[in-house]
Amino acid sequence: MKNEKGLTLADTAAEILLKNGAETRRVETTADMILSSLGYVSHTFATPTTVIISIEDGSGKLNTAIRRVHFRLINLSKVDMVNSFSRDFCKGNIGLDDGIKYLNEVNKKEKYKPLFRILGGCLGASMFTLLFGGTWTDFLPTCLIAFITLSVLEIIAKYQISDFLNNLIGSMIITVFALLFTYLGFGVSLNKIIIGSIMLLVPGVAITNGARDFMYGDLLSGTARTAEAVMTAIAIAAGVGVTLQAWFYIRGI
Amino acid sequence: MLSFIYSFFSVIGFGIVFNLPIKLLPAAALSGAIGQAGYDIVMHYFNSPTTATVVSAVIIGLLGEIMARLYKKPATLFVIPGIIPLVPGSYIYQAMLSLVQGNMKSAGQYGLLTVFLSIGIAAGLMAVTTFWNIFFGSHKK
Repeated sequence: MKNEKGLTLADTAAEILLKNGAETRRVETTADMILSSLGYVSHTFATPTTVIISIEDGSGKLNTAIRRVHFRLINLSKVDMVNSFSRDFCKGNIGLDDGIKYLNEVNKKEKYKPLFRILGGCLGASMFTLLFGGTWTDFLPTCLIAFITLSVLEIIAKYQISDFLNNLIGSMIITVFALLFTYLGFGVSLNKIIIGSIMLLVPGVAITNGARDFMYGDLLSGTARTAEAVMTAIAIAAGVGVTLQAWFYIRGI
Repeated sequence: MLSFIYSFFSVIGFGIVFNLPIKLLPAAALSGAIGQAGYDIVMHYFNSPTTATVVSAVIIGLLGEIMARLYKKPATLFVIPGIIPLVPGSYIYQAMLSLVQGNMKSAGQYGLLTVFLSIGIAAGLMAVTTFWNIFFGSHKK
């Protein structure tokens, strides 16, 4: 029974890390550290969509568990919580049952309210517009576009449709409103507004984590994450491209 | 100087999107902004986006490791929001725009630049993490 509980604990910790944007190396070492503090020999294999952990106890009995991860997002506070938890656990301060209970709580937690996150996105996007050389007249339109896009995506997220479609819709909304606003004279530079807003969708974390995985030698995760980043980039590009093309066609440019 | 302030606040914004704990926001934003300043300086003297990105990624990685020590948190928490200003979003857009306008040559140029820059970010971060672990050995106990 202890084997199963230890395995559940390590698996839950690994799953939370993987779901919330930690790199593969961190997922694997965290699970291994937890299990070795319990006295097991463990083998962990993580990709962006699965965690497989196999443990061997003193009597030579083997246990294996697999967790499947379907949706990933970035929630750094959960990564932080699991990280400090695993440190405490390895010191032996926390029991097995309490640990599992704590991790399940962490898994359910939502750190910031959606509205606060949306406003954060607005701030981020509009500052980008300025950073890329936009003027203060572009600030407000970008803010507004970011607000609309993130609200729509927040609503869509409830239906758990694929990431590709999500990004496609997001980038189309951004482009449509950017074109509309500049056409109406609200905001000057179309390019700067679009660039600032699509930073919300650009897979920066996937790109960097993918390249990091490669350099650590986690080839499978590296490939998967890079493919994810490329797919996202294609979705964004398609959304922006199609909308621009349609606009040029309608206006006859 | 202005870009320092802009990137500071954009990192704060993205930190909120990524659910970074509020206590850590200023630290992450500071490292992002200093990285951006490094980018601007290199850009000014060498005019090469790739070099500037690598230098900037190294700065952000280093600051991330230092802050990780100060706050006793994993470095990823500071690095992920910090590198957001470096992500070549504008080049992805430019590449797409050229593609739509049928300008294959500049589309390829921007596309390739995007690839270089993302490898540059990762290489800079990796270099710092690797050497930091060799010299300060944070995982040995």
